[in-house]
Parts: sequence; C-alpha cells; structure tokens
Amino acid sequence: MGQNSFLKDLVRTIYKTKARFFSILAIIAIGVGFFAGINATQPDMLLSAEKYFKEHNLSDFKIISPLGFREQDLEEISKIRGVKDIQWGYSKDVFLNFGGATSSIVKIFSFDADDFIDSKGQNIPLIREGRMPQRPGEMAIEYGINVPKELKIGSKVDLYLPEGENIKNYIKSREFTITGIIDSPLYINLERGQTNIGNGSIDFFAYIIEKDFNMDRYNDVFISTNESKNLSPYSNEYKEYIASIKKPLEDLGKRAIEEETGELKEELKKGMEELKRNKEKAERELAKGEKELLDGQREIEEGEEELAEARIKYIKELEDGRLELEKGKKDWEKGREAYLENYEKWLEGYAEYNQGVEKLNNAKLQLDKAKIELDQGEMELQEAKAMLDEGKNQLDILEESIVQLKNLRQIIVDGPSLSQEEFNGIVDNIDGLPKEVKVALKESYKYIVENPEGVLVVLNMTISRLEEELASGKKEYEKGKKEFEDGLRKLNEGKELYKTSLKEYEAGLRELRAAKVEIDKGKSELDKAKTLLSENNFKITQGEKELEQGRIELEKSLEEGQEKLIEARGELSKGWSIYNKEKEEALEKLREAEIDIRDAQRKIKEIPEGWFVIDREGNPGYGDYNDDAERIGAVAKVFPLFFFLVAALVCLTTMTRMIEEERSQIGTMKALGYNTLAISSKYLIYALLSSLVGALVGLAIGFKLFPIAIMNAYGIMYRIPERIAIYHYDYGIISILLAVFTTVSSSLLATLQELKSTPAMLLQPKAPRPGKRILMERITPLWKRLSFSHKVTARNIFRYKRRFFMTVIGIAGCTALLLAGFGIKDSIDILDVQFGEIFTYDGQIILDTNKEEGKRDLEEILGKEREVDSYIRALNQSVEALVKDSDRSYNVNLLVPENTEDFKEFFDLHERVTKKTLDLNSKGVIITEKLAELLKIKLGDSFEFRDTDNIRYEVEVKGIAENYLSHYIYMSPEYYDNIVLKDPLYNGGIFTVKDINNLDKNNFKEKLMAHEGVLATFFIDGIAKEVHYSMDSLDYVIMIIVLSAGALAFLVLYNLTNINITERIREIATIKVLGFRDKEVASYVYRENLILTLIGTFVGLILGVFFHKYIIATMEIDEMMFGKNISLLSYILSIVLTIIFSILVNIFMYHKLKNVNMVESLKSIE
Amino acid sequence: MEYIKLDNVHKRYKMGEVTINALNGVSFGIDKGDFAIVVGPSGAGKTTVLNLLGGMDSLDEGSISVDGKNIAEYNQKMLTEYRRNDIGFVFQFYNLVQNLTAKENVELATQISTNPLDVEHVLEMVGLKDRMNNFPSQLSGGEQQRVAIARALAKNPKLLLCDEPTGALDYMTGKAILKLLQDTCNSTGMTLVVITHNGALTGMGEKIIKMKNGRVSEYKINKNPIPVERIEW
Ligand SMILES: Nc1ncnc2c1ncn2[C@@H]1O[C@H](COP(=O)(O)OP(=O)(O)OP(=O)(O)O)[C@@H](O)[C@H]1O
Ligand SMILES: [Mg+2]
Repeated sequence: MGQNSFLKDLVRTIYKTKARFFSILAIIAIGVGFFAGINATQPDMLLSAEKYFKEHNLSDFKIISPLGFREQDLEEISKIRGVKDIQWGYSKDVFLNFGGATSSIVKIFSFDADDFIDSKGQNIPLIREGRMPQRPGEMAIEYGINVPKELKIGSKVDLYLPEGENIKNYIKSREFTITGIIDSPLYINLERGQTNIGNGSIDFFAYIIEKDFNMDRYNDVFISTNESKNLSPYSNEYKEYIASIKKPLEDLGKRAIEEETGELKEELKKGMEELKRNKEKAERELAKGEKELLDGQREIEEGEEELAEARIKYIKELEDGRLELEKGKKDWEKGREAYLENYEKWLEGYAEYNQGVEKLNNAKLQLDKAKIELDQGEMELQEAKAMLDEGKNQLDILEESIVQLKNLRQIIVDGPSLSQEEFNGIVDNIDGLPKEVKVALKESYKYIVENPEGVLVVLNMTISRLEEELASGKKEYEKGKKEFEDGLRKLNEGKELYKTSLKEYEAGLRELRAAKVEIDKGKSELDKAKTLLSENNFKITQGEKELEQGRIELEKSLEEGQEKLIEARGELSKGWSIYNKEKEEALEKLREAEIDIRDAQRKIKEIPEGWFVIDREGNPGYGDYNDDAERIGAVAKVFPLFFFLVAALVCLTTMTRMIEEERSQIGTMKALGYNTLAISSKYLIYALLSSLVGALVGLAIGFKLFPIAIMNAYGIMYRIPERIAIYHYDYGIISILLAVFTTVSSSLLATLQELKSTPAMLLQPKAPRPGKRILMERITPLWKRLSFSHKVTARNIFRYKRRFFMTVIGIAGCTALLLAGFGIKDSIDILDVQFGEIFTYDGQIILDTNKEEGKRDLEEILGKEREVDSYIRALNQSVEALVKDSDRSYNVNLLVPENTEDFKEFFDLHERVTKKTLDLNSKGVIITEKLAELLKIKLGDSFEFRDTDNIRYEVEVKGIAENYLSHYIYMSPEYYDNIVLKDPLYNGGIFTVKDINNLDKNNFKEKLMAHEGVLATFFIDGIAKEVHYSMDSLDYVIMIIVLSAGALAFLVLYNLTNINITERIREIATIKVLGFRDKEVASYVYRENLILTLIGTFVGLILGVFFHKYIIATMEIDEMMFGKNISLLSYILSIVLTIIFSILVNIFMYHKLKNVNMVESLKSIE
Repeated sequence: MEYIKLDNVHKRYKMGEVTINALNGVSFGIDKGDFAIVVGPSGAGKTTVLNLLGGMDSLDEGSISVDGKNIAEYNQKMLTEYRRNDIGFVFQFYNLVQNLTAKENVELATQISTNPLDVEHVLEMVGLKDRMNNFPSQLSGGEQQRVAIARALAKNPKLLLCDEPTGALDYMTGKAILKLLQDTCNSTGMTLVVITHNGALTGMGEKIIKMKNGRVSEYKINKNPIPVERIEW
C-alpha cells in the first residue's frame, strides 16, 4: 500500500466510522477540557490576585499602634532589613450618616496624593468612578455591598462618633462630599474587619485627604518589602520571607510601647496587689467572726438536743410505769373474777357431794335387804334338794323292782317253776312293790300250775303299772331337778349381783371420801385467794399515787431546761444580727475591692503589649481567597481526574473494538507483507488524530471556560478586578499526553495483539467467543422461571465480561459525577436549617451603648410594639477567634444573652449528629461546629479570642453546636463576667414577631429606628436572602459539573451501546432474518443495556456518596459549614438522569438497529 | 399458477459512479412443494436471488410473487412479517447465535413463530437430540449446519431457502444434510430452494435453475429427481 492508498484508507476509515471518531474526539475533548480547565482554576485565581496585588502595590505589612507612632518609631521601622518602603497615615472608625435614618460604621483612611506620584505608594486605590479626594471635605468611598445604594458621587455625608467623644478631635470637619468610588487591594472580599464602636463590625471604608485629620500621631503604617514585587503572594517563599521581617517589627513595637507604658503598668500592678491583700485580710476576719458564732450556735443546738432527748426518755419511762399499773389493775380484776367463779364452782361441788352421800346410804339399805332375801332363797333350795334326792331314791327302787319283776317273769316263762316260796321270797324282795301287788302276785302264783298265764298277766300288769309309775316319777323328778337347778342359778346370780353392788358401793364410798378431801382443799385455796386479792388492791392504789408524783416532777425539770435554752438563743441571735450587719458592710467593701481589682486587671490588659503587626494574612479575605482557590484545586485533584479516567477508559474500549473489527484487513496486510509499523500506523494515527484533536479542542475551551466561569462565580464574593485565564502549558501538555497516550497505546496494544496471530489465522473468521453456562443456570428453579429472552439477556450480560465492566464502570462514573454534583448543591442548601431550625428568632436590633440607658431600654423599644412576640437582651459583638500558634484568626460573633433560659426561645443550639440540646452555663462557652473545626479544637479544649480593643481572652469549650453560616461564640453572662472581668454591656435585642409573614418590615424597621438608641435593625430572612445570593455562585460551579457529567454520561453510553451493537451485528442480523420485528430486536439488545445501566447506576450511587463526602470536605469555605447529607431528590435525579441518558442513547441507536443490513452483515464471515 | 414466480427481476448495486447489475432480468417459477436447485459460477447472482426471495433485500425492478403476493411491493414491516411467517433461511456459515445452546437457537426461531414445530422433535429429526444442550462452539460444522436447518425447519415455513448449505462441509456430511432437506421437503410439502456450486447435485432437484452473469442461463424441469443416496460427486 503506497503512501497514497494508505492515506485513502485512513480517510475512508475515518469517514466510515465518523461517529466513532467524533465520539472519541468529543469524549477526549470533554475529559481534557474539564481536567485541564478545573485544574487551571486554582493557578488562574492566584494569578489574577497576584496581578492585582502587584499592580496596586499591596503592602506586606500594616502596623497599628494604639498610642500612635512617634517620629523615631517611623525611623526605626525604615531601618529594619528588608523594609523597602514605608507609608504612614491616619485612620479612624466613625459613624457615617447619610440622609437621616441609616448610619454605617466606616473606616476612614487618610490619603496623601504625594505618596502616589508615579504609580508609587502602597495599596493604590482602584478608581471605579470619579476621583480620589483632593480638597478638604472630599471623600472617596468604596464599592461594596454594605455601602448604602443611594450613596453616589456628590452625596453629602455626615460623620460622628459615639456620645462622649468629639469627632473634631480626630477629623476636622464633619461633612463630606463623595467624589469617587474605589476598590482597594486591602479588601478583596466582603469582610471589612472590626472596630470598637457600634456593633463592632465595619460596613465599609473610605478615604479623605490627610489634612482633614486632626490627630497628633499617625496610627497606621504600611510597609512594602524588597521582595513584594518579586515573589508570588501566596507562595511559601513569600510567607517565609515575610515571617523573617515580621519578628523584628514586632520586637520593635514591643519596645516602643514599653517605653511609653511601662511605668503605668507597674503602678497598676502594685495597686492591684495591695487591693488583693486588703481583700484577703477582710475575708479572713469575717470568716473568724462567723466561726465563733457558729460554735455558739452549735452549743445551743446541742443543749436543745439533749433536753429533747431527756424529755423523750422520761416521758417514755412514765408511760411505761403507767402501762404496767394499768396491766396490774387489769390482772387484779381478772383475779377477782376468777375467785368468784371458783367459789361458785366450789359451792356446786359441795352440794353434789352431799347428794352422793345420800345416794350411797340408800344403796346400802337395799343391799342389806337383798342379802336377807338371798339367804332365805338358799335355804329353800336346800330343802328342795333333799326332796329331789328322796324322789330319786324311790325311782331307783321302782326301777329295780321292774327289773326284778321282769327277771321273775323270765324265770316263769322259762319253766323251771318256782316254788311258791321261792316265788314269794323273790316277790318280797322286791322293795318297790306295794303290798297289795305283792299280795296279788303271790296269790296269782298259787295258781301257777293251773293257770300259769294268770301269773304272767298279773306280772305283766304290774310291770307295766310300775313302768308307768317310773316314767311319770322320772318325769316329775326331772322337772323338779330342773327347777332346782334354775333356782340355784338364780341364787348364784343374785349372789354375784350382790357382790358387785357391794363393790360398787364400796367404791362410791371411797370416791365420796376423796371428794370430801378435795372440797375441803378447794375451800382453803379460795380463802387464800381472797386474802391475795385484797393485798393487790392496796398495791395498785399505791402505784397510782407514785406515778402522779413522778409526772409532776418531770414537767417541772423540763420547763427549767427550756427556759435556760431560750435565754441562750436570744443571746446568739443578738450575736448573729451584729455579725450580719458587720458582714454586710465587709462584703460591700469586698465587692468594691473586687471591682477595683478587676478594673485594675482590665486596665493592665488594655495596655497594649506592642504594635499590631499585621501581614497580608490579616487583610480581610486575603487568606480566604487562597483557601477557596485551594479548594477548587482539591476538587480538581479528583473530580476531573475521575472524569478523565472514565473518558480514557471508553476511548480505550472503542479503539480496541475497532481494531478487532478490522482484524481481517490486518490479516490481509500482514499476508501481503506489510510490517507491523505499517499496519499499526493506521490505527495509531487514527487514535492520535482523534485524541489529539479532541485534547486540543478540550484545552482551548477548557482553559477559558472553567476558570472564568468559576472565578465569575467567586467574583460575587471577591473583588479581584481582572480575571486572568491563561493557557497553562504544564496542564496542557500533561492532559494531551495522558489523552493521546491512553488512546494510542491502547490501539497499539490491540494491534500488536492481533498481529501476534499468523495472517492465515487472521483471515480465518475469528473463532466466535464460545457460549458458556453462567452461574445463574445452576440455580435451576430460578433459571427455569425466566422467559427465553430473559435467559438470553442474562447469559449475554455475564458472557461479555469486558463489556459488562466497561459499561458498569462508565455508567457508574457518570452517576457518581451527577450524584456528587447534586449532592454538593444539597450540601450548600443550608439556609433552611440555619434560619429555620437553628435561628428561631426573627430579627435583631443593635443599640447605641453610648446613649444613656433610658434611650436604649428594650422595654421601651420592643416591649411596646404590638408586632413583637418576645425579645431578649443580648450582647452581640464581633471578635476574632485565634488559631493556636498561628496568625490566622476568624471573625466570630460573640453573643451573650441576658437570660440563658429565655435564650432557648431564640436559638436552638444542639449537636448536629446527636441532636442533643446544648445549654449555656457558667463554666464555658458553646461554639459553632465549623469554628471548632477551623480552630482544630474539641469539646473541653480552650482557645483564645481577641475583642475589638485587641484584648485576648481564653475560654473553654463546653458545647459544639450545629451551625452552617458564620461563626458564633455563645456565652452566659456569668461566664462573660468571669472571663472579661466586667458585666456584659448589652448592646442589642433579639426578637420574634407574632406574624413574620404579614409584617410590614420597612414600616416596622422605621418605627424602631425612630428611637434614638437604635443603631440598626435587621431580619434574618434578609440575611438569608443575601447569603442565597452568594450561594448562587457555587450553584453555578455545580451546574458546570453536572452539565459536563451529563455530556460525558451521554457520550459514554453512546459509545458503549455502539460497541455493543457493532460487536453483535451478526447476531442482530440473524434474528432479523428470522423475522424479529424492529421492536423485538431492540428489546433483545436493550434489555441488556438497561440492566447494565441499572447496575452501573447502583454502583455509581455508592461511588457518588464517597465522592460527595470527599468533595464537600475539600470545598467548604471558612464562613460556612456545608450539609453532610445528600437528599433523596438528588439520588432520584441522578438515577433518573442516567436512565434518561441511557434511554436517549438507545433511541438514538434504534435507528441504527433498524437499518442493520442483513445481507451485508451476514455475507462474509467476520 | 406457480407458487413462486420471479419476473424480470433486476438488482443493482451502486458503488459511487459504478453500477453493478447483480441481477439483470431474472425470471423463473417454482411450484409448491418443489425441490429447486440454483447453480452457477461465483458472482452469478445466486445469493442475491435468494436474499430477494427471503425478503432480506429489496429489488430494483421486476416482481417476485410468492403464493400470489408480490413481495416486491412490500415495505420493511411487511417484509419482516413475511420472513417471520413464511420463510426459513439456512446460511452457508450457519449464523448460529454463539451464546445460545442448540436448542435455544432453535427456540429463538420458534418463539416468534405462529405455528412452530416441536423443538425437540425437530432436533431429533436432524439427529441432534442428545446434543441439544451444547453450544455451537462445542459442535462440528456439520452439526452446526444441522442446527441451522433445524432452526429454519422449526418455524414450519412455507419456503425454505438454503444458501450453499454444504459449502463448508465434507462429502458425507454434505450428503447427509441434503438428504435431510430432501426428505423434509418430500414429507412436509415445503418448497425448498437450495443454492449449490456443485453441478453434480442438480440431479436431485425438480427444478434446476442455472445462473450466469445475473441472468438465468438455463431452466430445467427434472421429472425424475434422483434420491441423494445415489448421487456421487
Ligand atoms: N453489496 C454489494 N455491493 C456491490 N456489489 C455486490 C454486492 N453484493 C453483491 N454484489 C455483486 O453482485 C454480483 C452477484 O453477487 P452474488 O453474491 O449474488 O453472487 P453469487 O452467485 O452468490 O456468487 P458466489 O457463488 O461467489 O456466492 C456480484 O458481481 C457481486 O459483486
Ligand atoms: Mg453467494
């Protein structure tokens, strides 16, 4: 490929990919422009200031002497090494009245035209209108926001001083005419410093000719040094150089003041010592007297105590005795009752006993009777027994007879007949036979031979008769026997009964006898009891008498003790009243002494130590300006770098992609034998061209746009007349190098990467990136639930890792930039909190403390106004809080409310994080948060502040309050008294009105100002408005950031989406061929983009929060504390904007998607 | 009436001042269910014809009627619908979506189709049932081409267009794929147009269109198409 075709190819490539080319160009332009521009702002700001300072010969030192400079002082000063030029003059702070109502506090400088011949002289005023004063009665005033708007050239003003001081002692005439309006390099911001009149803060400055002053000595000296024209004002070299001159100046000042005030100081000190000694002596004496009295009092108190104790003791004893007696009486009563009861019982027992005796006697009688009956019965039984025995005998005989008879009958029957005799004998032998029967038998037997039967009959008859007889006899016998036995048994029973009854009787007798003994015993006991009872009765009566006696004695002795005590007390109180009177007098003396001591201390304090040697850091705004520039510089260190990184990253991706696309061409050229340089040079030149042109465009715009825009924004706060924005070669070269290096080197790397492969491989279609399963697919339930197209999206997102990270980083970067931008805006939106939540009052008035008290009585001024709801007196003074070991000081409002409780109604002082309410106490002060930060102090630390009379005081910090605007020291009157050694002179009132919204403020103000003692009145919403105005400048800076971030976001998204589409053009063509409708194709591609955008946005939010924190920390200005939080709205805005950009880009790309040429995209193998 | 009818179709590419007549009055017809073969030398305009038939490109002159409708008059939207509902396209280089498995590639087609065939069934037809969860990079060229065919078939198109489906394949694989196409055509009554460089294959087709220099140089109707198995080349 010849030179020609090389160029043609290059131009054609650029033309073909013009969107890509210009997007790289634009991204680089924005990135570089922002980077270089913001970075240039700090040096540009300093350069602008340097130019102003040098052209107007800003002095290096200002020396103020409270006693004025003597001729020799000026000579000494000019002798100090390094001092080049010295310019002296007068200055005086006065009230300036213009057109009646409003007075301003003005610092009047003297102007000596001779000093300024040939653009010499220091602090050359910058004339904006008119001219400097030339004749007496002429005045040039400054061009500041505190100058009344109506004050113009030709206006006449009136100067005066607080009551008691005559302006004529300082300035020859009172009336001046304005001839010019000027600026001075001494005052570059809105602050004008402090004074000791009015509310302590100067409204503006003015010049009159030197001859108009009427003062003995010059009190201002300005010094310029040898190096002030050579060194840059804020440089370290300058600071070091200045420090080396400051020391000798200060030493000189100390010596000079010492010479004039040494003696006075000694005297004052001596006087104070004397006062202190006297005071201590008086205190000691007083303490001694008090101690004596206290001892006496203690003795009396002890006596009283003893008496009371004794009284209690005796009363208790008496009471005990009485109680015992009562108990005895009760016991006696009980005893008597018991005795009566027992006696009754005894009588009953005795009657019972008698009854028993009678019963026993009766029983005895009966027993005796029974005995007789028993004996009789026994006799009868014995008789019956005898009869029974007789009966039995006869029966036996009868039975014998029967047996014999039967035997006989047997003999007869058997045969051997008996002789008659025999028979007779036998019969006779039978005892039981009655004779007639014997006879009959014997008779019958006689006929035995003839009639044997007859015998037998008779025999049988006899036998049966006998048997009959026997049977009945037996029966009778049995009966009798039974009867006998019954009778015997009954008798025995009767005997038994008798015996037991007898025993019972004997027992009864015994019992009765025992009862008798008992009864007798009872009787004797009863008698004994009776005797005891009557004895006790006597004792009780005795006891009662004794008790009464005791009581009477006790009362008498108590009364005596009491009387003695009363007497002692009377003496004591006499002692006390003497003491008190003396004490009052002594204390009065002590108080006087104390006041004297304090006065002496104050006087010593008021004697200056030396001159006030103030270098430029002491000029209002001088240091702040550098701080602000540094702040921008700090922002520049990260913000644009981040910005730039995102841009570079995107360019890198874009170039890499481009080279990948041209793979086959690279392969062809390699195959044709071109060397690496020849092949890669096309891409290098492409990258170089786009980045270089982009960088140059960016620099051209950035170096002008950003510094000027930001300086304009700060211009509201700083009076630097000329704003210089130069091309900084260092930043220019750095950013060009960075931009070109990143794009070109990434192209080179990508080309080299491609060239590693052989031409054959390059010509081969690049093996498509293999599909892979992603982690999500392993979570089967989730994966299954996804629709087909969602699956594709999910896989695509995780497959193209580079694209994933590029997009996420790119978008995150944009979101972070946006969020930080909006966040900063939130952070500086602090007025609502300041004036709504912290300052809950509506307005303040400033009183002229030089007027007599009646004329500045708040009760008169505010108390009578209908509109006023409540008010509080306060001391409101402007002081300088000093940074330890440094010259830096911060202007602070010292506020001392008269009443710390009421104070809470007007200020809600609380800690920011914990919201803990802070109370003013007598132990220390409450300071505002930012002040604490600037002074680098914590709770419990101490710091010093300097009042308008240049006296230093050290205070301890007892609370750090949330506060955003300016600095405050809040102090209780007690603590003020401790520290300042005098009562606060309340010079102001803080008030709330009933209805701030419907208040005619001007009318109200006029009413208040009509009081002679009122110097000024203002409402806080007025301040709020003013601050708002200056805040707008910061808003402007933020707008720049947000717009730049937006533009970048758009480009980044465009590029990434573009790459996304070209990378997948085949895939897109394929699905188009398949018949996907345009919308389906779009959603196929965009779903991924959207998800990536969302992820990026989310990451960006996190990033943005940190980003914001950092920027706020570096950007804050001294007079303010910025809010630390980002509002919800800002989050939403950042998200919405990012998404809108993303959607916009996608809409933009929709066109491209629609026109993807299927045929061409699918024809070749890529 | 022929199912497809090209009538004096012209397609020109303007390249600056030069105009290339890719198609220079092409006319031919194909019946429904035919297996048509387009052959011709490189640059003859075969791909161009197929692209026009597939509704992927617009023509400059003439008319193409498919099923009685002149697609030459279709706008982009109608062409999209035409591609969506009537056409199955098989590319020489498969053009599978790398990031989708074989099955998903087929699903890509079926999910937008009104009357799709069962995905797995189609993959079975092309003999890839057990490989359906593989990604293209895990498949051989022939297998990828079969996936591409399955993707085209699964839409159940009226017209299946294949641009050199065997171009990148070896003999046996190419044959198998052609067989697959022929069988499908026979069994479903789908109309099939296949481009090939291989003259030996012409015997397979029922219509043989020979092209040269942007024209139809020969148009043959083959009454007795030979089954693929018997063709040797
Ligand atoms: N996008 C285009 N731009 C310019 N000319 C083109 C374009 N596409 C095709 N042509 C030209 O149209 C003619 C026909 O091309 P086509 O791709 O149809 O040929 P083909 O018969 O398919 O050839 P092959 O067998 O090599 O694929 C060729 O001469 C080609 O150069
Ligand atoms: Mg072709």
